[in-house]
Amino acid sequence: MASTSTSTLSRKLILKSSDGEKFEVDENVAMQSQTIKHMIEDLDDINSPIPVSIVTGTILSKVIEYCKKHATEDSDSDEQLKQWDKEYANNMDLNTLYYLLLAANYMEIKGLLELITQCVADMIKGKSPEEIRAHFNIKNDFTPQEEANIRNENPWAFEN
Amino acid sequence: MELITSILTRLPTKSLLRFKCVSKAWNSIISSTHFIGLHLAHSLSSDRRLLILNYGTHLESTPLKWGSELDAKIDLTRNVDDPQLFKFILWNPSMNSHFILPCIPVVGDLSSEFMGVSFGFGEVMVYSLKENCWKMIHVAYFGDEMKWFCSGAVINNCIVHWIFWKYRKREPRLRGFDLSSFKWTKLALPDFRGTEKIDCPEDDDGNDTLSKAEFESNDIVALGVLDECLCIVTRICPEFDNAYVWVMKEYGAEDSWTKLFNVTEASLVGPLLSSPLASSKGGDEVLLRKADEDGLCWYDLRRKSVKAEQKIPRSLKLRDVKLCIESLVPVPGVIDGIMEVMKDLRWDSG
Repeated sequence: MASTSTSTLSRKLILKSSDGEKFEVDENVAMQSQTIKHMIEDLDDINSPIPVSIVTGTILSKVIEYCKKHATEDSDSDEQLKQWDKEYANNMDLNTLYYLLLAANYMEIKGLLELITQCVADMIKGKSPEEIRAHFNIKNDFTPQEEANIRNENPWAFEN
Repeated sequence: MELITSILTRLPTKSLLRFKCVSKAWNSIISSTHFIGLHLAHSLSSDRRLLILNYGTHLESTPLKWGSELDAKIDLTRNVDDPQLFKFILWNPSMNSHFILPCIPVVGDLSSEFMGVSFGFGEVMVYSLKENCWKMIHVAYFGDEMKWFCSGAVINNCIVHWIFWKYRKREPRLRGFDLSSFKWTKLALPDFRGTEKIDCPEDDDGNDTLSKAEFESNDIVALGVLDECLCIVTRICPEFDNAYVWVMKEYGAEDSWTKLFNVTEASLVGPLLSSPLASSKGGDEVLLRKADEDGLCWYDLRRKSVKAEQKIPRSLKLRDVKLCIESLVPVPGVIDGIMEVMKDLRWDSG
C-alpha cells in the first residue's frame, strides 16, 4: 500500500472554513475529500487557502480529525479503525452529527458519510414521530385526521 | 432529502412505518416504490434478518440480531376456514400483513398427505402474483425413478433448488428451477466420498474417504441456503454421529463445493435436522437448530463449541425455523418482476 509518487513531497494545504478559520493539513489528508481533490486540480496557487464554504471551523476540525486517522492506513488494523470510528461518532450529539453529515456530503468523503449516516440511523430508530420532528425541525403538515389514518394503518409499529 | 433517504434506508421497518406520520414528505419517501427497493437492497447487504418460527398453529417472527425491535405474529388457524383445504399464505412479518393465495386448481386427487414427502412423478405449481394465477410445471425429464425429499432452497430470489433421489443408481441429484424462465438446470453435488477442500483447519486427519458404501437417501439430511450459497447437510461419513455441512461458494461451479465444517452431533446440538440458518459476519459462527430442546444456538466453527443461545420465545413446540429478509414490500405486492410461491405436489399415478 505504500504510495510511490507523491509521498516524497507531502505538500501542505490550507483549508479555510466558512467562518474564516484556517487549518493546515497534509495533502494526503485533504485528498480524502473528493471535492477538495477536484479543487486542487483546478488550483494555480497551491499555497492559497482552499475555501470550504459551507462548513464551520468547529465541524471542519472534526472532519480533519477523521481524515487524519484514515490517511495513515497502515498503522491500525481494520478492527482498531472500526473501534476508533465508533468512539469518534459516539462522542457527538445529534446536532453535531447532522452538520457533520452535511459536511461529509459536501466534501464527498465516502467513509465519513457512511459512518455518520449509520450513526444517525441508530440514534433515531427508536424515536417517536414527535421526537423526529423536533430533532430535524420538521413541521407536521398533516391534519389530525390524516395523521390518525396513517397511525391506524400500522398501530403495532407504535407499540414498544 | 437525499441524505434523509440515505438515513431512512438504514432503519428497521417498524421505525419506518412509524415515521410515515412525521410529515407528508417523509410519508411519500417511505411509501415510494423506489425507496422500498433501496431499503430491500440495504437489507440484503446487511444482516437485517428475521427468524420465522413455526409453531404449527401460528407463526412468529423475531429479529436475528437481538436488540432490533420487531415481533410480528400470524394466526394460521384463523386464516384457514377448512383444515382439509390446503392454503398458501403470503406473509411479510416486517409489515405484519398477509395475503391468502387463491386455492390451487384441483389436480387429480389431492389430499392433505401431499404436504410432506412426495413419491413418483412430481409436479411443481407456481403462483404468479403478477398474473394472479397458478401454473403447473412438469418435471417430466427426470423420469419416474425420482423422489424429492428436501424442501426447496432459493438462490438469487429466483432459482429454487431441490435434491432428488435417483432410485436405480442410488444417487442423489441436485436440480434448480428458474422462476423467471421456467427452466430446469442441473447442478453438481459435492464429491461426498472423494478428497475435498476443507475449510476448517483442525478437521480430521484426512481419512474421510469412504469405502464403497452405498448411498442411502437419508444420508443427505437437508438442503438450505447459507449466506446466499447453497448448503447441504450430509451424514455420509465414517462416524455416524457426525454431520457434514457443505457450501457451494460460487453458484454453479462444481469445484467450489467446500466442506465448511463437521459437527459431532451427539456432544453438541443433537442430530442436525436442517441446514445452518445464518452465519455471523466473520463467518466463524453459524446458527444451528437444536433438535432436542427446540432451541437455536450459535456454533463456533473454530472452537467446535456452542457459543451462545439465540433467544426465542420458548412457550410452545417449535415445528420449523426459517430466515427472512426485512423489507417494506407490500403483500400482495406490485413488484417489478415476479414473486412466486412454489410447492411440490403429488401426482396421482394411480
